[in-house]
Amino acid sequence: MSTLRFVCKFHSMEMQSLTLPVEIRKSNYSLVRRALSNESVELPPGTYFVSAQTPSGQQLTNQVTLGEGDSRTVALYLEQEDVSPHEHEEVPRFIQQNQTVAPFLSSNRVRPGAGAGGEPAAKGDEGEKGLGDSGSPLPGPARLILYRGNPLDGGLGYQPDLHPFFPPRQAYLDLPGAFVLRFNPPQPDLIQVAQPGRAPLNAVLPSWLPRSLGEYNPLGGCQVVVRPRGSAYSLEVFLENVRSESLLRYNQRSQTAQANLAAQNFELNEDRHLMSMAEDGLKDKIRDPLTAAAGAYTLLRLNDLEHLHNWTRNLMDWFPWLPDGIPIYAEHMARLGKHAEALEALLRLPERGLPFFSDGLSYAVDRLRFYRRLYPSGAQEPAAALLLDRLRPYAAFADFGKPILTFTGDDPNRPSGEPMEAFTGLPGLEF
Amino acid sequence: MTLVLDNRPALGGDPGLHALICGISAYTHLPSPGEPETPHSLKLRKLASTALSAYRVYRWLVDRRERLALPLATVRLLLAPSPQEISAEPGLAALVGSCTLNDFLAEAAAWRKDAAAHPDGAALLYYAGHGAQRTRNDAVLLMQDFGDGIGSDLRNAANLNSIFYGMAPSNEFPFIAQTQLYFIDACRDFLPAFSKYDPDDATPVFNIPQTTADTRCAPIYFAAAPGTQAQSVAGEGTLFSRALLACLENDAAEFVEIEGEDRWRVSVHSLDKALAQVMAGLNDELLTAQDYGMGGQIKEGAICDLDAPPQVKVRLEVVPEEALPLTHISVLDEQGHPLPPLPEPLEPHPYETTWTAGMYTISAVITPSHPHYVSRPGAPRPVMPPFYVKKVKVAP
Repeated sequence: MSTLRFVCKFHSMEMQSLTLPVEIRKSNYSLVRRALSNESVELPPGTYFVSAQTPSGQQLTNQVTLGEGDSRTVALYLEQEDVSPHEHEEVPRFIQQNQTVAPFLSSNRVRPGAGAGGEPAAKGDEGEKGLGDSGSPLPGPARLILYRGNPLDGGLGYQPDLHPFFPPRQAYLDLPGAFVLRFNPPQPDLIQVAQPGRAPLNAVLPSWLPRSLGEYNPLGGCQVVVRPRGSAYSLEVFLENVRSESLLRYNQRSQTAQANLAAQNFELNEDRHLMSMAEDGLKDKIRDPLTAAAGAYTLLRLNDLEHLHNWTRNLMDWFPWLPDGIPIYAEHMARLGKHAEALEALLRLPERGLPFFSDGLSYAVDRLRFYRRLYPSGAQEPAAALLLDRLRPYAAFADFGKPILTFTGDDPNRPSGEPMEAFTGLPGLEF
Repeated sequence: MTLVLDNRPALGGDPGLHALICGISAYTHLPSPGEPETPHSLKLRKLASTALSAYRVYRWLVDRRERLALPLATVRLLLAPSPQEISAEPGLAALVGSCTLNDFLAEAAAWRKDAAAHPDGAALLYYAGHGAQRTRNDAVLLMQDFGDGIGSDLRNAANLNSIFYGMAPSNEFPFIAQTQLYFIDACRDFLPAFSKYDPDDATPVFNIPQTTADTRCAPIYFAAAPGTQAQSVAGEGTLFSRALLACLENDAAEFVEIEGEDRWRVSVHSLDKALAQVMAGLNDELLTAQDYGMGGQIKEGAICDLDAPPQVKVRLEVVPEEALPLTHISVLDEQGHPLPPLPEPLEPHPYETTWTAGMYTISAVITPSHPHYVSRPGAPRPVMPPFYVKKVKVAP
């Protein structure tokens, strides 16, 4: 047998720190193994084609020939056309942007008669994918508004004093009109893009500030990317931590085989290990509960209950500021058939607020519906009904295609699909 | 006509695949396109190709039964086609039936009972018709008698959620099939008219059971991403059904080594990945904007095999385009044999062709030499379905 290791040739520290899923194929391209880029793999001698895929869909590849007893490291390289022109653009290009869905765009193949029920179809404002934007003029004026508080207890209000909380706008790649805002904790809880004639977009702003880091955690915040899509602006939130972000994007972009491996990598994560030990004193050593939450959602989607072990309870109990600990634990218990525990946990969600992740809202609403029918006359039914009534509008107007919870509505306390007629008097940053 | 295939006696209790396929175009109480709305139609209209799509999925299952991961045990078919669909597909005529709420509830119950016979069995639900979003994993499915004005407006609609949880292992159904494939070929936008209704008014398909440990492989392939609409081409089928069949037939195949044997196989994960790509390709071709989405419990599992290597749509592009007259592209297959010569220059540009899946080496030679461009010797690269795009960059 021979031993093979991998190194992915990126330039930025962030990308080099990432563990990517790797596929090892024989020279006729039949799949022999899937592994992680930080693993070593035992293989019979032979020639292998090795590839790794970024969350955005670019491939790093190389071919290697192994003799009996060899121990080698194969360097994986991007195709020349995929190499980022700037080191600082690697994360947006290789994690945030979606290159996987439309690799084969032919031009000028318009056919009449396409559309629902035979009606002509038109490409919507959100139809553009990937990096290439249309050359259409930028959308009209819009305004960014910040909110603080918990919408589930009626405590969400706008942030009156903007300047300490708005980070400077930075250009986003080379996309005309697009910009990024980087929020670090402590930060507002929700951001809104309001544009007359459009239903305002709202997105929660996940954050994590451990006591040990005092007032600043560079990896505990998020990036907000605002970019023109036809005549409207889109809003997308990315976690600052690339490990969390890569898990979310593999899930979002139909790369389930890669998500599966990435989730297994989380099994080796030190935080996961600490939480499994179930000793309360260990909670201050947890480095990134947001990654733990992203890992848990991935494992739930893959229904990999074995790797969820026993740590979801600690994720819920140790981090009372993290709303997602509740739907994760509840869904885990529900899958195990422990419904009383699941419902009891769910009913604590209003204390914490809206989940950061759209999966959390989806699981919570689905299970509350389930329990209202399973226990129609239970003692907890009124509380379950009340919570479901509160969450249902968010589910109705949520964009479940986005990993971070995003929904429409002029007032984030009352989601709706109604377009805004004109700017309200709330303070905001116009652009 | 409902139970259109019953292979249970031949299987003799061995596990098999139980399919429930529903396609509704002829909504009895909805107006046709161009007709005035009715009081309970909620601005919805009859559809043009959903029953046809369901029929094609049924035909694929029956025609390709030898390639399925499990033997095909039963197929229940509920089709409510439009006259135009019957004209376009004569095979539909013998299978015309109805898919009212009662029809669906009765057939779903029988389908679950069959699926509950063996944990190593599999269940498949394909639904094509009107629908609306509830959550990432849930939707409301509108039955043929939707909009009849009797009772709640959502009475003749079914909760996907109740189907999904009702198919989970439970005290009542401890041996239910552990592999369940759901295909929901319907819109998932939130209908503005629904804002005045409680979506929970939709009819539960099953009693909610006290579910036990749920380790199912139960992916839900949604034709449309949450909040978006599904599209179709009249007379040709829904975009999703076209993408799904293309994927099952060719585009989702991956080459895997199983117990020492190399096979082309479609799996839960490979279908997910390919559907996203093929739907994007169809959007580009038809100028539509339908985003496919995935929900449920997405464990890996085999769906079907291919009996020959798949074909790959290939696109070759020389960058920069100004170098095209000087760029000569040559391609070697995995044995090192040259492919038939490509046009010189490579026109129409970008050049599109179809190759059999495999390893290929694509090289570019600049002749005569030019100070602004360089030749690019190739390295072997996998060319796998559904698409392969190669930008041959000849700028230094």
